[in-house]
Amino acid sequence: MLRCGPRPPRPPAARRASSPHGAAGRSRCGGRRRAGASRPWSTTRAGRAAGCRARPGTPRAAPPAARPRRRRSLAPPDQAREHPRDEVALQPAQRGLGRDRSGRRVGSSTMPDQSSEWPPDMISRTSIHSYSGPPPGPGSEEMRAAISSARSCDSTSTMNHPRSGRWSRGAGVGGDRRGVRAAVADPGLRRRERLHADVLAALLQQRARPCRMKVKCASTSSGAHWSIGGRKRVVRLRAAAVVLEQQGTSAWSPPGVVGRVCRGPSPGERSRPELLDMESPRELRDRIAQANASGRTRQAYDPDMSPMDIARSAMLNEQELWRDMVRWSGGLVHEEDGLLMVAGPSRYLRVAIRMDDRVDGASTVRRVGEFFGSVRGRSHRARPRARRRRPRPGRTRRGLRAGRGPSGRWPFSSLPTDRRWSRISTCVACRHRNRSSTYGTVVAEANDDPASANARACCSTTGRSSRRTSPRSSPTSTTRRSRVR
Amino acid sequence: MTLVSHGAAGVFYVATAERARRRGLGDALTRIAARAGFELGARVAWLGASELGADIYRRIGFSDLGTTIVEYDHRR
Repeated sequence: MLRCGPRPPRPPAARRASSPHGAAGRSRCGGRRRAGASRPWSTTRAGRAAGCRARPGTPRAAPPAARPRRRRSLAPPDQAREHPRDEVALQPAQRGLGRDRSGRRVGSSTMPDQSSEWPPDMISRTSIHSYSGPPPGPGSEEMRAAISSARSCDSTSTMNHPRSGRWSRGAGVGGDRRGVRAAVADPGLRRRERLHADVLAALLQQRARPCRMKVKCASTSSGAHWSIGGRKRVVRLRAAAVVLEQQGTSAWSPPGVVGRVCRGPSPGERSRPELLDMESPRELRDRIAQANASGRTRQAYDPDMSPMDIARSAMLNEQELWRDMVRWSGGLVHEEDGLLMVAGPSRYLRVAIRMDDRVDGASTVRRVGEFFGSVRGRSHRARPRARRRRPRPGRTRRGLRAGRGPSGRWPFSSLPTDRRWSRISTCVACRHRNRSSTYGTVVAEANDDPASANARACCSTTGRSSRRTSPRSSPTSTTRRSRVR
Repeated sequence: MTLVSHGAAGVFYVATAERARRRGLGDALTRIAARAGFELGARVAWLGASELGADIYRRIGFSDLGTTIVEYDHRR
C-alpha cells in the first residue's frame, strides 16, 4: 500500500538537483496542491477505493506554505530510492518495458500482467491526475502517463500556474523548459529531448484538432483558458510557450495559427516602400524657393508669404471647394452680402461660410435658416420621381445608358445638363492636369499593386468610359447659378 | 483630393480606415496630395486637421495656422 507522507530529509545535493516545476519534476503525492485538491487522501473517491478510511478528526491539509515541500530527486533510482513507494513504483516501469528485435525499448506504463502481481484496484496518483492500476515508475514512464492524460481531452486535471506575465515575456507558462519538454515530448522518445519549433508546431496542431471539437469558448486574454465540454477546465498548452518563445512573438495565439510569424526587417532591408520616403512639402517648398532664387525654374513661389496671406488663400480655396462640389453634384450656391451658402443634394452638403467679418452672427443665422428652409427638398424635387423597383440587370444597363442610377432611380446629378459654369474634366481621376491623385491609385501605388497601372490607364481614357464605370460621379451635374448672384 | 485655387492647394478628405491605420498610408496620401498641389503651381498647401491627425501633418511639415470651429447639425 502506498503511503503519502513526509519523507526523511535528503542530502543537500539531492535537493539542489530536484526540479521544482513541471509535470515530471513534481512529486506525486505532494508538492503544490490546488485548493480543491487539498482534501485528505482518505476522503477522496480514489482514496476510499484504495482502502483508506476517513477519519473524522483528521484536520484538513495545511496550506502549501506551511507544508514542507517534497521534491523528487533526479538521482539514479538505485541511489535515490529511499522510500518504499519509490521502490515499488520503479518495478512496473522496468518490467513493462520490453525490447523489440532491434533492441529498442518498447512498451508502456501499463502492465500486461498486472492482474497477477498487482492489485487491480490500486489507485495511483500523479501530479496531474489519478487513475486505477499500478503506479508508474519515475522518470520517463511517469512523464508518458502524464502526457497521455494531459493530451487527451478527457483529462480532468487542472494545472494552475501563476499568471505572471510569462506569456508576454515569452518564457512560457511554467517558466522551466524541462516541464515544457516533458509536456510535448513524444511518447516514443526515451529521454527528454528538446524538440525543434517545427516539430512542436506539428504536435500542437495534431493535438489541437480533437480539442477543438469540444471547445465551446476560448479566451485568449491570459493564455490558454479553454472551456471544454461545458465544464470549465484549464488546459495549459505549455508547448505553445516554447513556440512563441522561439518565434519571438509576444502575443499568444491558438495552436492552429501558431506558425504565423511576424518578422521584422533585417539590417539592410527596407521595412516600407520607397514611396513613403518622399520629400516633405516643407523640403519641397524650400527646394523650389532655392530654385527660384537661382533662376533655374519658372515656378513662382514666394516663401515669405505672411500667415495672413496664407489664411486668406486658404479661406478662398475652401470656398472654391464647396462651389466645386456643388458643380459636381448639383445644388444651389448663393453668395450675397458677405455670406456664402451652399445647398447640395444631400444634407451633408449644406454649408454656410461668412466671408465678411462685418456680417453679424444673428443676421447670419437668420439668413442661413431662410435659405436652407427655402431649398429644403427642392434639390430632390428637381429630379423626376421614379418608382422604386427591384433592380434588374437589363433595366440597370438601360438605366445607365439613359443616365439613371443602377437602381433605376434618377441620380442626384440628373439635373438639366448645362456645362457653361463647370469646365472640368470628365474623368474623376484626371481633374488635375498631370497627375491622378485618387485614393485608390495612391493606395495601389503605395502597395506596389499592379492595379495602379490600370488606374493610370483609366485616367488616360475619355470621360465616356469613366461615366460607364461610375455613373454616380458622372459630370452631368450643373449648378443652378441662375439663382446664384 | 487636392484643389488648387488662389495660389493655395487645399488638401481635403484624407482619411484612413481604422483597420489600415499605423501603416503610413495617411502620411503618404497627404504628401502626394501636397506635392501635386505644388506641382500645379500652388504657393502654399493647407488642410484642415482634426486632433487625431494633427501630429501626422505636423510631422510632414505643416504648421498651425488657426483654429476653425465647425458645427455639424444632424437634426432631421
